[in-house]
Amino acid sequence: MPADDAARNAGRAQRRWLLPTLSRLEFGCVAALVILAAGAALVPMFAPRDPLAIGDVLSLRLLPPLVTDARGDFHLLGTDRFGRDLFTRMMLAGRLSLAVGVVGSVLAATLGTLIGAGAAWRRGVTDTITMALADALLAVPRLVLLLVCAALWQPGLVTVVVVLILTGWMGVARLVRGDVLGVRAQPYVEAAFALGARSDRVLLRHALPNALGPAIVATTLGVGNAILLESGLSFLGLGIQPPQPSWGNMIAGGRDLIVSAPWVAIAPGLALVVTVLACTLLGDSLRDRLAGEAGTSLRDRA
Amino acid sequence: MLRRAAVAIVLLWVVITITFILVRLAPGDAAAFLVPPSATAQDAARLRAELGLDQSLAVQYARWIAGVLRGDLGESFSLHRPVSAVLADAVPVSIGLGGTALLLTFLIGVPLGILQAARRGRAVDRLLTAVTTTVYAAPSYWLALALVAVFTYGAASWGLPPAMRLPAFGVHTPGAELHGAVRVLDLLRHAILPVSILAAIGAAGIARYARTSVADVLEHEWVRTARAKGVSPRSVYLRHVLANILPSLVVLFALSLPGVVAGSIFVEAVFAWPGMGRVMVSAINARDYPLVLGATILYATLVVFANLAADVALPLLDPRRAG
Repeated sequence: MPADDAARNAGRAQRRWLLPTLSRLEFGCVAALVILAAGAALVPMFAPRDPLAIGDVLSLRLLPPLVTDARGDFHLLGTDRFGRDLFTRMMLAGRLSLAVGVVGSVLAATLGTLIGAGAAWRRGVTDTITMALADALLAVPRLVLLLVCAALWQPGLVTVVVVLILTGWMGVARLVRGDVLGVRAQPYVEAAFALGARSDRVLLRHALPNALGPAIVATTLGVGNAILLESGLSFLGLGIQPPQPSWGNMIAGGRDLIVSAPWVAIAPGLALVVTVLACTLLGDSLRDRLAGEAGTSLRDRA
Repeated sequence: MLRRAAVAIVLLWVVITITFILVRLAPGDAAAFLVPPSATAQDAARLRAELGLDQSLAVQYARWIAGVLRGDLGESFSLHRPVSAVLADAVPVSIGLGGTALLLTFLIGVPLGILQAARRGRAVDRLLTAVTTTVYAAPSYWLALALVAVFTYGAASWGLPPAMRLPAFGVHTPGAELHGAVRVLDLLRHAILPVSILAAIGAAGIARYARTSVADVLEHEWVRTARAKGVSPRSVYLRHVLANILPSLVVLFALSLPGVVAGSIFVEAVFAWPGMGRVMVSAINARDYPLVLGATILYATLVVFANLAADVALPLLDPRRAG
């Protein structure tokens, strides 16, 4: 029964794609990210006190980790200078940092993919102008560009995301443009045209899906980078504004307490390191997997 | 070559134009920041006229470009000094900090990467991979705070003599009248912590890169040939492998400039170094448009010329790409 076999094989391939076999390292990264995300989603919901409200500062401030305060609240990571529970604040900050990182880099990559594919498909003047723009923006260090943009508009959540998108599309655009130009010359694109498919259909259905691999890797690697940049902006006071917690502004808040209450700055920093590390390692192994499939074409770019 | 230089100049022009448009389109008016609350509307209007903010955008743009071509970047709103003078004070500090760090980055990162590739999969490699990946993922300002906690405050509380504590703020001991060699020593002591942070993060990135590229090179058959004909392992790495990754390292040197720049912005913020990063951050907080524009253009110029230099150097180092 060859047809049955084929169907079974197809089903197996699909299952493998949905539930890919993870290495131990990948499993660890995914687990760390899932636990962090779940904690960020759930912990603030079940916190006994409002993590933004300031209570009895004198008796509650700067309690060390693993201490129960006079009201009977247990503080896993201690409290900050206003007596607020650090663990709850860290998880609340995690919501923002993770969301900003994921949304910022995914939208930046989407914009980059559209611009890169459009430039490669239209060629001519459109291509020249968009690539000149991308090159010019790449010539300014991204942090400088971020600082300029963040300072020009009201600091805050929306600004940070918009600015991450505006300063993050160029790399992906260049990648996708190169790949679409390569795919364009393939016989199957010619065949699609010969069969009478419209140009935008050939681009969306045939060319783009075959050029997306590197863009996906770049997006995964970009998440960690975006989280790091957001935290940096917040540390400098140009990103998420207090009392809204972000890992960056929490570290800034612990800056002059590194001697008397080091846990205030250590905890959010560790959360940042774990998150960025997990994203980087996942991106790396995703790149290696795709490189295995697509030959060596990815290696010199990444 | 000429074509490359022309492309670089066009890129710079586009950068200048983009930053100009961005800055002028932003809400929030420098005059509103600069006048005291007691000022009348006339005072604000006079200030706007003085700063040229009442002219049309086209006029402001034309003036700006003409100024840039003459090397005149305007006058800083907040410091009341020419932008070029402010930047001229800050650039040596940042170049000294970033340059030293960049040099150390390669001197430490490349040997580490080669060592890892040579011992691939063994304990040394795994340990170094864990360390470099973690350092690479850590925010520079957080590592900087940790070092300050240990080497400045920690050293003080352990009763170490002042000579063994590392200063955490500024470039010179405040109030001390130092001259000659003592002054240089004082500067070096102040530089240890900021340079170490930048160099550690940079070296971690370079080691990760060097490990991969050396491992790729080792797969080649000519490496096996060299070993088979009795070339010593040392010579295989130094003469054959290093020669083959050198061109990509030169490109990497140019490409890692933005990273060093970005890192130095945070490091300067934490250690209160009067370099470009601090100028940039305080100019942004003061809405000092000319200073922000000037600093951005300087950063872009640096990157564009570094890329140009890498393009020029590449064929010299890699005969396969010459001609």
